Amino acid sequence: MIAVEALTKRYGRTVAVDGLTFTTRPGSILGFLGPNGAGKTTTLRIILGLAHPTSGTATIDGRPYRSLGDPTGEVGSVLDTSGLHPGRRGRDHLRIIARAAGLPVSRVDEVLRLVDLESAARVRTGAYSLGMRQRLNLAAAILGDPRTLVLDEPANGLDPQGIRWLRDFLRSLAADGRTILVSSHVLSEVSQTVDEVVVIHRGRLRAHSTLTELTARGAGSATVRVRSPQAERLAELLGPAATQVQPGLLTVGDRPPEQVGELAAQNGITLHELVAERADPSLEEVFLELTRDTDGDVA
Amino acid sequence: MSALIAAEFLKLRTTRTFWWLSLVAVALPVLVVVITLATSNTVSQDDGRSLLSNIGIAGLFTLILGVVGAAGEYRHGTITSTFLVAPDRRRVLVAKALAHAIGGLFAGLVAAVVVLAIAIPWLSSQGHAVGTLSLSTGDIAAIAAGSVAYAAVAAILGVGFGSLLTSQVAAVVIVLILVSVVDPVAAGLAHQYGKFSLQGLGMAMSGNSSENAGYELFAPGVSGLIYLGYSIALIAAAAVAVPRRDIG
Ligand SMILES: Nc1ncnc2c1ncn2[C@@H]1O[C@H](COP(=O)(O)OP(=O)(O)O)[C@@H](O)[C@H]1O
Ligand SMILES: [Mg+2]
Repeated sequence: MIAVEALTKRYGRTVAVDGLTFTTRPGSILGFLGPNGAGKTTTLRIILGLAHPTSGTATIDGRPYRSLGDPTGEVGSVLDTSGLHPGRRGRDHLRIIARAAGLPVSRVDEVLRLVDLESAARVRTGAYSLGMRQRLNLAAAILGDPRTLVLDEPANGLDPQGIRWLRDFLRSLAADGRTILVSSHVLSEVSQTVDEVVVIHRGRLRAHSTLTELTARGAGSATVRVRSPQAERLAELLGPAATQVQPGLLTVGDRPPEQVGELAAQNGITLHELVAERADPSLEEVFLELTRDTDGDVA
Repeated sequence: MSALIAAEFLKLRTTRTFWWLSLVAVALPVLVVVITLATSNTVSQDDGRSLLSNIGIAGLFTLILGVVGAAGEYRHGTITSTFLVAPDRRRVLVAKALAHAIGGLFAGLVAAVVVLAIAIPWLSSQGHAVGTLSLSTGDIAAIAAGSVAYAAVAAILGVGFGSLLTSQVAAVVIVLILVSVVDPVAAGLAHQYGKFSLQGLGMAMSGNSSENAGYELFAPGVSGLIYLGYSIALIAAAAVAVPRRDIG
């Protein structure tokens, strides 16, 4: 289980991560979402002991990454900075990690098979496509057969088949009871893979819920469409919730249709139409709403 | 620790940079020795020493090998996976220094063997068997061993520079300016500093006499210890700086 507690990271005046707290649920896939610059990579780097927090803690099964006895066997990870030496063969890259972690070379060939990279195993990584690089990094992540995986934008640069492959791959890893933390700036890339999401924006937690809860949260803001010959009078009564779309037609946000109908009746306003719009926003819209700048700052 | 050293050595062996730099570390001393033998007469003991001490040229390239090996991890971003497997960065640093020392030793050893295999028969054919130059087998062995040790400690110094500076291009340029301009100029200007200079220490280790250097040198063993001290000091500085660093 990964636990992030009151984590803050400042770079000079930039607050990359701002008092972030969340935990993963064992055996489930947690999507870590936020637009570019939200602080995802910084958070993951701190979890993995690569960067130092300004304050707060990040632990894996109760311990900081740097004090894990067998990090490769406990956590596997891919970061967007996970580089490859262009002159080194893919298999050699894995052999080096295996050697340092005390794993047999046979395991290297096993993971190369698991990520479908056997045919390119002896090719220098400088000749790899982005998708092949991602798969080699994933192979490195699962080398030690860890129970926890931390993946930073693994879908980045993958074509649709690649994304589909990744989805199946992550699902199969989770099916074995692994806990996976996977980041993305595009919800749709992971929405079919994850069980839960943590949404951050400007380093702050915006939501931590299941996908179903997230959609339900968005549904609360459905609008009501009202047609009335006295539309202007009704708009005055409703205040800023109402928007006159065209003469005689209003849309009302944040009010159930019952309330609008009763208000009209109390004031003797004739209604020609009162419709609760089936405006269940898409997950993507909820995500955009959560990560919109609401504090008036310039992004 | 031995697993980490083995991993670091595997890193070295699986890039072409290592093989190219090793090749140059061997080829250049050989070339200089061949040219010297072909163009000038080696008649005195000093001539003999100066000729064989060219093995030490290998040290310049093992120094660069260390710089490139350490800074290259930052350049290519492989430092991320390195520290993910081994989060104790000080251990990584020590393993890297030792692996490069082994690599440097290997390159120095090959350079020594090839140079001696060419120089000794050549001198004999010129009628100057090494014995007549009053160089004993022990002297020759000491020159070779000192040069090989120099190639090894230079690689450690390089790892120190590369780990501290991290920018590969900047590190290579700075180190080249240091060893080819700053250090020899300082040694030339202040002779009492000469024996402490990287150049003076390297010359002493690879068997040069003070006459060859143009300033007083320490004995090879003492020079080796001082050079090793510099290398360890730089690795120690890196051991303080590297763990504090944010990676990526
Ligand atoms: N090493 C760094 N130095 C200075 N600022 C940084 C550094 N790393 C990240 N940042 C800043 O921190 C913020 C969060 O970045 P990051 O964690 O990379 O976001 P994400 O991965 O969500 O796109 C950004 O404003 C970024 O510019
Ligand atoms: Mg990122």
